[in-house]
Amino acid sequence: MFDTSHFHPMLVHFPIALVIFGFLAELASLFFKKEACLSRAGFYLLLLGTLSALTAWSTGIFFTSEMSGSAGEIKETHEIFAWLTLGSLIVASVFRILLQLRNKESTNLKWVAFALYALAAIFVGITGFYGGTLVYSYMMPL
Amino acid sequence: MRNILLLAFISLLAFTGCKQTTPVKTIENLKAGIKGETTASAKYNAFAQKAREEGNDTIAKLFDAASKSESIHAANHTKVLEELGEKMDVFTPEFEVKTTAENLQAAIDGESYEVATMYPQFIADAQAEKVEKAVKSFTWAMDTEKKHLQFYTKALEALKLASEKTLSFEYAVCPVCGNTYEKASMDENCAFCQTPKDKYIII
Repeated sequence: MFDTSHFHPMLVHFPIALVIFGFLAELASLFFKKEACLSRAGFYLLLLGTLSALTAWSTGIFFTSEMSGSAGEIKETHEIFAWLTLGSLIVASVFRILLQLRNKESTNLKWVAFALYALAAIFVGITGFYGGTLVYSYMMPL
Repeated sequence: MRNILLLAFISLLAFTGCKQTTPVKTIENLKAGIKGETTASAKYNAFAQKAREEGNDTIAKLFDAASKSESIHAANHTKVLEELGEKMDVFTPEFEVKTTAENLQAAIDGESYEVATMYPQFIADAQAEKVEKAVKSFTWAMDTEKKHLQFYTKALEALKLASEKTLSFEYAVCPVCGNTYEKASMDENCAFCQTPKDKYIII
């Protein structure tokens, strides 16, 4: 009825866009301190990005085929960075939620939260890069 | 601000108007690759006939599958060459047909050279000259030749032990990248390019 191998490519763009734009909003909030909505937007985009990353990661695990040869090596690298992305997003999200609940968002701990968010944004970019390499350098016909 | 934007726009036009350098080495390698793969395809076809004459039907099937695979590699290299605006020189494949055991050894030697030396260099040259399609075509060919090498080595062992009947009698070849499978071990999607198995060519 519906080819399940389509799920992963359909869903991967969500964490890339949500996490990167969320981080940019967070970064902008450092310069535009009066705009409280920027940090709030960054926070909610982080949570949505984490949920979408979990979904994208799951479809990658369950609905993609094994590859071998040179393509297999790229896929392994892509998978490693996918794990790193998901891990850093979960840690960043939990840390931010705890900061909010304990009213410690204004303390120096906010820099730890920022660094975790930056790391997650870097990892999602690298994961996306290798995913794109896999598609365009190995899976598209000549 | 307007002047800055105008300057940026003119710079962009100037940059995109620059003539790209001709990937001389990659063109040379594509031609060498086409010659090699076309020759290999014709050679394996002849080896298959010899294997049949000697009663080694399973080995003949292996050569048939490899011949098809090499023709796909040649077609891919040709496509990339033509997209670069070049044409392949006319040539006649030259090779020698001996006994099946000698032919298998010759195939092993040929594939070993391609895997260890020829294609890694071709890929490096294409990467340096930023011809991505050539990198892809060479990579597909190299990955497939590694599998051919394994098949040929196994076949030669079987021939020496007089157990060639245990070899696979059917093979599947991916029409996009030339990846070759024993039919019993096919992946749902090609492991190199993800082409679905219903598109495979069954030999």
